[in-house]
Amino acid sequence: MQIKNISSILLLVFLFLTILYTSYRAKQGKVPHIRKIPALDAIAEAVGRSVEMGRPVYYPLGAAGFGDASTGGKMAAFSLISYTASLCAEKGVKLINATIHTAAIPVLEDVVSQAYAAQGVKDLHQFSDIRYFPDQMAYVAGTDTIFKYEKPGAMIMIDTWWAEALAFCEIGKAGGAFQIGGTDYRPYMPYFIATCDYALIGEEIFVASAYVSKDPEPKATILSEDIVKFVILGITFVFGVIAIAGYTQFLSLLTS
Amino acid sequence: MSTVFKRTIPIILTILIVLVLCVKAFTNEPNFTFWGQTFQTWSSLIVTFATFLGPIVLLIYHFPKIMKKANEPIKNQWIYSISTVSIMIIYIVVGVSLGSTSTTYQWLYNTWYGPVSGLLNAVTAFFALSAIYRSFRVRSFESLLLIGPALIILLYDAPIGVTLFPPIGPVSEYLFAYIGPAAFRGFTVAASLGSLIFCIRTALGWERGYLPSEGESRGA
Repeated sequence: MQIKNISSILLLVFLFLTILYTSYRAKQGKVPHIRKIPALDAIAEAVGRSVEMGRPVYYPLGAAGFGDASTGGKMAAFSLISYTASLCAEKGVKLINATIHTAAIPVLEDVVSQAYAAQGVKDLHQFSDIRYFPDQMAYVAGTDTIFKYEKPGAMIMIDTWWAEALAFCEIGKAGGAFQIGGTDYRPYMPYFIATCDYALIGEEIFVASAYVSKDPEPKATILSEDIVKFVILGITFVFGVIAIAGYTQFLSLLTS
Repeated sequence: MSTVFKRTIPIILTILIVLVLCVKAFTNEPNFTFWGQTFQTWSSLIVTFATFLGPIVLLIYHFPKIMKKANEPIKNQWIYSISTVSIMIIYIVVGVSLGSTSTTYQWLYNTWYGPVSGLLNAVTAFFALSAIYRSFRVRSFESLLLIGPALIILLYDAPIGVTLFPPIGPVSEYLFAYIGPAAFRGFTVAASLGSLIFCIRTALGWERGYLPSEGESRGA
């Protein structure tokens, strides 16, 4: 048996060990302090605003793929949809979801309907509140229609997004919706910063579910992420100096 | 029992599949390679089966509106619903019977779908314009920092920008070559690490947002 990418395995093992260590500490009661993330605190504000206006909340999923590198973003979005649905059910407001991925439909239905059932307001959610659009541009047109006729009070767009993000943000802005956006896909990040009331940047979408969770272990993983980030920064600095000094033969250690 | 089927079994399956795919990624062990490829084939099959859900969801939404001659959410909604369902049926029938590469299907695609999709793509350019206008309003120190380089790049890309202000050329090239990539790489490393930690949380069964809730009031 031949082992590949030893440097990646070492990083993964180190990451895993820091997660075990920080979660052990969290179980002992030493839960790390997590700085406030205004965009995540604003989800409750967005739901509250929709309640006051008597309008639904709209949480569309990004058009980015399912089953590729974007899957992490989708999974993070499902966690936040579960959280948003619980808040909506608690306040008695309708949540509309939309997607272009048929595989996401059963997950959305399960997560949202169970959140409403848990609050005893199962009737407030219907299967038709999950909208399906078969194509990226049909998705844009469909969202425009939703804003024109159903007038959501808030739109939450935390997921991996592609080019439709800008159209969504502008449609939401024109519709007067309170907007919270976020993506881990760099080229479309500026759209959210320019047009949303609150934006999550990059990795923040992945810490979101840990942030809203009541369990100590997921919160502890955020500390492990920071530890590994500093280690990567250190490695980058050390190997940067080595490369500048001309000892380029050592750089192969990072790719072995 | 329901909890076992809806939460416990999916979590066990997730942990198992993650372990197999991890070993497959880092070794050339034939058994793990076989099972890793098998899991990926199953995943493709599940996504293919889910394709049938699309028309079903559209019918669930539009069929009651046609039957009730609904005027909600828009006036004469039922007529739009009939057109949506009819177009879907035409595409399915032609696609399944003649194939998506047939002349008829291509004609349908290029004549009906192409222009509408192209139009919506073009509209995005106007959305970009209004977004640029909004982002060019200085509301804070951070937005000022965004606008400074943005103005320099904008002038650099403009046909007469460099002619009018020659220093903009080297400054823009410096921003493109060093400052921009440094920020991009920082962003990419942090986002990848965040994604990796998220996947480990999922593999450990701590991330359960994709599963139905157990009755707790809220939380992932």
